Amino acid sequence: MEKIPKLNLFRLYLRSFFVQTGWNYERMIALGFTWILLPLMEKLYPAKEQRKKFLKRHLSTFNANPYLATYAVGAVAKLEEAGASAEELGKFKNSLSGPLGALGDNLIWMNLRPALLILGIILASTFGALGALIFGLFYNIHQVYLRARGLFKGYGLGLGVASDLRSAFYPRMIKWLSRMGAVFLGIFFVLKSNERILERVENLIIFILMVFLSIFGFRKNVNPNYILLAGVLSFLLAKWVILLT
Amino acid sequence: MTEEIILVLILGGLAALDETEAYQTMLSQPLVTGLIVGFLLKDLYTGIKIGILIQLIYLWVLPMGTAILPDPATGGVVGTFGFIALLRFFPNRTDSVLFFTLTYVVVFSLFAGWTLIRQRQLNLKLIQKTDLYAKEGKISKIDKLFFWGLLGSFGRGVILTGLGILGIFILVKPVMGFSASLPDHYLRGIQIPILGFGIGTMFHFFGKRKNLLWLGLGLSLGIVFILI
Repeated sequence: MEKIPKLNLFRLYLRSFFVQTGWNYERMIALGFTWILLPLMEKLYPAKEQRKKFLKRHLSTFNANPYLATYAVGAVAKLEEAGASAEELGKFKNSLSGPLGALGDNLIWMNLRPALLILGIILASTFGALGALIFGLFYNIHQVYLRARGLFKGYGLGLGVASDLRSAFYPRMIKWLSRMGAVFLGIFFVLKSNERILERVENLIIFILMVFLSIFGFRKNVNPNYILLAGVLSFLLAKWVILLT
Repeated sequence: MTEEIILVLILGGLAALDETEAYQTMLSQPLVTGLIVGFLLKDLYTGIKIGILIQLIYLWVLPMGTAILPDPATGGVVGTFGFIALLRFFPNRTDSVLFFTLTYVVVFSLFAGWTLIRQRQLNLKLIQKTDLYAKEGKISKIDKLFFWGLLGSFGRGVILTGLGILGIFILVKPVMGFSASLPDHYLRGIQIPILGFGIGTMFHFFGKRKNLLWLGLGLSLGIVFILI
């Protein structure tokens, strides 16, 4: 089988930014994933029948975190290049779907994004536009790197791609992002507690109560909309009582 | 104003795309859309301030798996636009405008989240058609379906943003009329429970026992920043 040129891999990389297009509840990212692989198909399979089979095997259900889906793209490219069977590819994609989702959720949605958002909010509260710009810049440096790392590691390791997912790199990154988030949280808490609006005792009490109500609510899996509603209603009630007295 | 609204509608479309179908650069986060809408409406300061508040409300939203969530992307665009635009009409009633806008954003984001579910259900038709074209070997048609997917998401954002802005202008008169009957300072400080909620959400992510030392470091640094 013909080897995939670097330029084609780069095309897959650019297309990976659209992996969630056509996301649906039945086959999740299957459409976006197949669309990413079209340049690969054009390179490897000139015959119409081969292309039909290629599309059939990749339009099956698949899901992964959008930033780490490139691991699957790279590894599938390698397997297609090596002429792997449809069954082998299907099993491989199924086995990769769970770990890519779980790792991506923990790394990006639970740590990277909230940590950088807190940093962005702190900076935006103090320096204005700079905060949002720094958030956008730092976040996108990470996403561009993670997508590229996934594609090239996936292509390099093929069936053994899980070894990179199990390596010390990601747990270390998660650990440091979590610590960074805790530091930002501490700074934000102090800076906000010092705001002029909290100089009034009743406002400070409502603020602290709301922090505890939210922590407790999240711990008990209460719908966050209800927590917010409870907080706002308590605030209005307190204000009303103060007005009456 | 017409030019500004058109630009905000396009931003709403791009934010909806960013949140779901494409690129995920976080352009859709209210912190960022607040900045952009503020820039478009030539009131950067207010845009950032309201963007931060909306962001604090939606820090908890994690687009994981098949979870059904509010959609703060278009909500953020509509809310920031609404707040800045309404302040032009009611310059002396910031607290009422803020309360109205934030309440509107929360309700509107729930509606926007529902439309996202509908869109994902419609996407099923796209993949069923892709199956047909794949069977027939019509590769170029798959490209077209893919772009329909993108266009659908962009269109959802534009339409939602338009409806959101329209809703603000329909509701503002009765709501502001009612709030005029309240004492001026009754709604002052509505950002306090939101701030508390945002910090509570952050604790949910990072206030773990293993991070206590780092949290302490952050608290100390915060005190140092204040003293400086």
